[in-house]
Amino acid sequence: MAKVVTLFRACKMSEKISKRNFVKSAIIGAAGAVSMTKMKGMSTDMHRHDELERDNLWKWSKECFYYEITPRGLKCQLCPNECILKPGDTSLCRNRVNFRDKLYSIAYGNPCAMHVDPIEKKPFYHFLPGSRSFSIATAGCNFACLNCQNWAISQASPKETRNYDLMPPRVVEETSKYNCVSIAYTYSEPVTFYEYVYDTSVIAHSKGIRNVIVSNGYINEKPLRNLCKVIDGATIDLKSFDNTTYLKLNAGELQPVLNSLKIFKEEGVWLEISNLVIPGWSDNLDMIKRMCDWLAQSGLQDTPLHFLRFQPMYKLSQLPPTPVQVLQKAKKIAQQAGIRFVYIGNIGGSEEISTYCPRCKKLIIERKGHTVTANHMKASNCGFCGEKIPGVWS
Amino acid sequence: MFSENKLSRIIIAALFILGFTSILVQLVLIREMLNLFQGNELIIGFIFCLWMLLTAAGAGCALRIFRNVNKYQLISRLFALEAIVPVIVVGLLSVVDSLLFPPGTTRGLIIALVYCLVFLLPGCFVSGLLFARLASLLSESRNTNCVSLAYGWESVGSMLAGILFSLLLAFLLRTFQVLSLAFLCNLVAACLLHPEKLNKFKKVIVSVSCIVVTALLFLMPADIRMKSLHYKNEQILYTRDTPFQHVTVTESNGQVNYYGNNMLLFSSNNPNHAEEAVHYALLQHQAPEKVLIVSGGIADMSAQVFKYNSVETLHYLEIDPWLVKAEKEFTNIPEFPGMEIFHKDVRQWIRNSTNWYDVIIINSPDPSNAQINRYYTLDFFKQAQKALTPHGIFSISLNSTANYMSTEAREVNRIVFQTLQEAFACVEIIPGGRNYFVASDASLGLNIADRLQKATLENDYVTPYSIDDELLLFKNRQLLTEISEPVALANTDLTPVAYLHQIRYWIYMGEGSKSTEILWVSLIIISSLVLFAARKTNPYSAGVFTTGFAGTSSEFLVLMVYQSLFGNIYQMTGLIIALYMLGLTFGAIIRSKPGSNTKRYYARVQVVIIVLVAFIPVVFKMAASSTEALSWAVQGTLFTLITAIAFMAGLAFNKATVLAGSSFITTASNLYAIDLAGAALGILLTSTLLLPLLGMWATCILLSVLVLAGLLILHLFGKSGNFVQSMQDE
Repeated sequence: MAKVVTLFRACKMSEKISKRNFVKSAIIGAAGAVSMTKMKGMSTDMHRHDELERDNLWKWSKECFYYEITPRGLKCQLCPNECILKPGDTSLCRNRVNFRDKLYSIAYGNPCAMHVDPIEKKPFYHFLPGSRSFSIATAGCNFACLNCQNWAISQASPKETRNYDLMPPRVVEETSKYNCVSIAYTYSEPVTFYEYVYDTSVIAHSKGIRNVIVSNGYINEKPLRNLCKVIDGATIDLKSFDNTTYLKLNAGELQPVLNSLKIFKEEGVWLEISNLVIPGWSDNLDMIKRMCDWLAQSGLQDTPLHFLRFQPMYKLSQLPPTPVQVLQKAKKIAQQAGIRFVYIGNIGGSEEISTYCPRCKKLIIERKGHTVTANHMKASNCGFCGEKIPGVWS
Repeated sequence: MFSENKLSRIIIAALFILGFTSILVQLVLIREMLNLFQGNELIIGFIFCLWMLLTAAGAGCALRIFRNVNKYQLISRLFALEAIVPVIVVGLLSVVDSLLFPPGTTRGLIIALVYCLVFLLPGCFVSGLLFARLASLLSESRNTNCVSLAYGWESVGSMLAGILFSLLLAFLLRTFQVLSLAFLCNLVAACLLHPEKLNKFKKVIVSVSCIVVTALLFLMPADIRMKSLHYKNEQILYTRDTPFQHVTVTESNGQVNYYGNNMLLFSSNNPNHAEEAVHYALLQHQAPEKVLIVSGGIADMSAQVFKYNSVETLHYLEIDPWLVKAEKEFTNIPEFPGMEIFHKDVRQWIRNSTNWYDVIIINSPDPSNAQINRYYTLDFFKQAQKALTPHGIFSISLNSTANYMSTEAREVNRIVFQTLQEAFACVEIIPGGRNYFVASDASLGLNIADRLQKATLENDYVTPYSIDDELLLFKNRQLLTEISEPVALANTDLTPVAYLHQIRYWIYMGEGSKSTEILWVSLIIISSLVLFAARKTNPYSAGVFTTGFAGTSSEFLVLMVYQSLFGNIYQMTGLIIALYMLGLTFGAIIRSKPGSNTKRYYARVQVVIIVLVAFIPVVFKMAASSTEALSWAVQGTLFTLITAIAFMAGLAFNKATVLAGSSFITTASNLYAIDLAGAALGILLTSTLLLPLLGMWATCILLSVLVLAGLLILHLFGKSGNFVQSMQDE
């Protein structure tokens, strides 16, 4: 930088700051900036916010299933956040609004993400392996994970994202069009677009299409038990096994997620658990041991557990990827705790993502990438020793 | 106390030391701040603005603080404070950061601003105080106005520090070693100005203490200690500041991680990026022989490239030799015949290449500042296209937009995609761990899995099993629908629009939606503060504001032009900055010729500035079409141009101090504040808004118009005649 301007000595700074001068300066600055905006029309998306006030309803609104009227406002009873919303307020998940003393979801029929993915990508390894899943998400999430891969939609309101117009019947039509056997409600947080998930699942079931959610499991008991009636599978991301970490990393709590895992099991929904091992956050091996012990003691030994490798992302972009050694140690701990199907994701190769029979130890489903390259299952059993392998296979 | 002559000499020495140490500390602190905030152009602009404003605030408070106190004693103590404060501040920066923020987290714009304000305040404030007081003391000791002289000596110190740091210290010393040098110099100044005469014994005690403390600071591994706070769960194997970045190498559970400015560059046992970057590009070529790769980690990149039997030559470019040295030390780099490593800027490297490479792969961070943006411009893409064989492949990438592309990310992707389309006949985007843009004049295919199958490569991530061509095509079409329309402004060297949108994207990531509004509000607030500092503008000082604005803006623009034409050559960048400072200093302290202190002369100086600024894009235009043989002439022209602009800006300041009327000190103080404000606003607005939005031509015209406006104000409202006489009469 130029020296002449680097160190100067505005002796007049000692004079009292007059309001008039300040306002004058501010106006000059503002005028300059406004004229610049006009010059290039930089904020092309600004009209979006102006036109669509957050607390207004739109085509993609539906009255929420779970809320109570309280003297303080409407209390959303969908997830443990239990937001209390006064008229015009928006929930923490950004897609529930109090409009004239009724609680509405504004994430109904308007997914911002729509893809066709291999079911293994979710990850689901014991649920219709080798099939494709029509995957959708609306904006919004009841967590605020620092490492979110989909932060651009999870930390946004549906009124801030560019959305498709895809009401439940059309979701089912598109699923058939792309030859998918299931619909995955994924990417952001399906709990927060509960009504959309529920209604779509009901229609999908009537057409023989399965429904799976990829979720953080942060949901209250009553809505979860109802949802379990219409969905077929769930991959729950158990972020860590420590409440403080849950709070600081995800803005949530551990216990409700553990409750959800038990409910999924009780309701007979196929469950798989993923655990993203983040260096410095969730890579403590003692904590992983406690988690695995709890899973085993809670009757979840047969629930596949996926340890996933972290890659620098979003607000944790200064962290390194999880060392492979840590993931291998975690896997060993899980196996010692009695978890029968433990996988390591995001490290490449085949061995750690293939399924081995817990009895005869033979390879029964070989996976490479997201592809099933060999399947030695016979119906729901190991093709070699006949051991029943838990999962949804057909 | 001191005799008058001796006092004068001591004050001059103190001013020199002040200039010298403040620049050293400034450079170190800015480097540390950029480490924390991954310095995009907005953050860089804000740091400079705050630095200047806080220094100005210190100078402004000088009169109050020095009232009714023993001035020499206070100055001596302030120098001692100036010695200690930077050491504490840099230390605290790491400690506070590790206490307030969880490991590995990035900070958004608002946090960055608060940090800069808090940590820059002590050093800048004290340095401003000291200058103001020393300048007035020098005038008192000589019983005449010596503000220009004071300014001159302080500038000489600054200039020397800048040159020394750029050419020597940045290569040789670590952060705390540079600070220890500043520490010692400031202590010397404190001792020189101490009013009490010390006996021999005390002198020895003080000297030994100073040397011991300095030696401790110099020798202690303070840098590693501080860095270890940032890398809590990793063991630091290597850390050093290089002229290009801060390189840190860590180890955790057998994995070696390489960081540049605290951002992860690459890790061992994590070849997914290398596989994607290399294979998405090389698979497009039937038999690649000559490959050029820029950065990304030599071990992983070379291992992937030499999976292709046809490859004969791999040129790996990494501008930072220390990074390669560290990688060689801590990672096994396979030996391949035909692999060569060079430490050059790619734009310099391929400037004269024609039909040479089959594949060029650029592993660059996203274009968050003007420097990095040079790898995403049409000018560079055209250079690369020329350097490629007719069926050659070019590849560059942006952050993944995973399952959804935000409006901000869409803008950046759209600009890069459409700019590539202007240089190459075919462009495809392959969504993976990042969005890989592959471009060529030959046809491209998205049947990656099919090609992988045929190539029979043994990969971990990029395999026919992890990629489904049908689904890849589906995602590719989705992305293309998003970024093909509407037509975007091409990202060029002279209209680097991509980095402005990347800044919006960064704000959006840190602060959520309303990125545009936050950008404007933060710029308006900072600009208002700067304009407030310049609120005493009168018809004479208006010219100082506009020339200050145009001067620093020109420095930035000439750097852009130089790097566009010749690449980022570290020493040359240092030379351009040094020439600017030299011209400025010389212009500011040059002795007035009789009859030159007139309004007309002042106006002429400004007219010359208008012409010179308007000349910058002309030089670029002419240079871009000149032959290689004339490159020295072009460089010489640019050096002359920047020196001339700086000299004229300094001269304008010099003349304004004489012409503005009232008492010498008040005039000088006002003008310094106004000059400071103009320069601060110039660097901020030109780098973040004017150049990206308007481009080089319009920016230069705007700068010329701004100087012209100052001239008109002078003409319409300034009194005519020679004011020197009237001031002397006063």
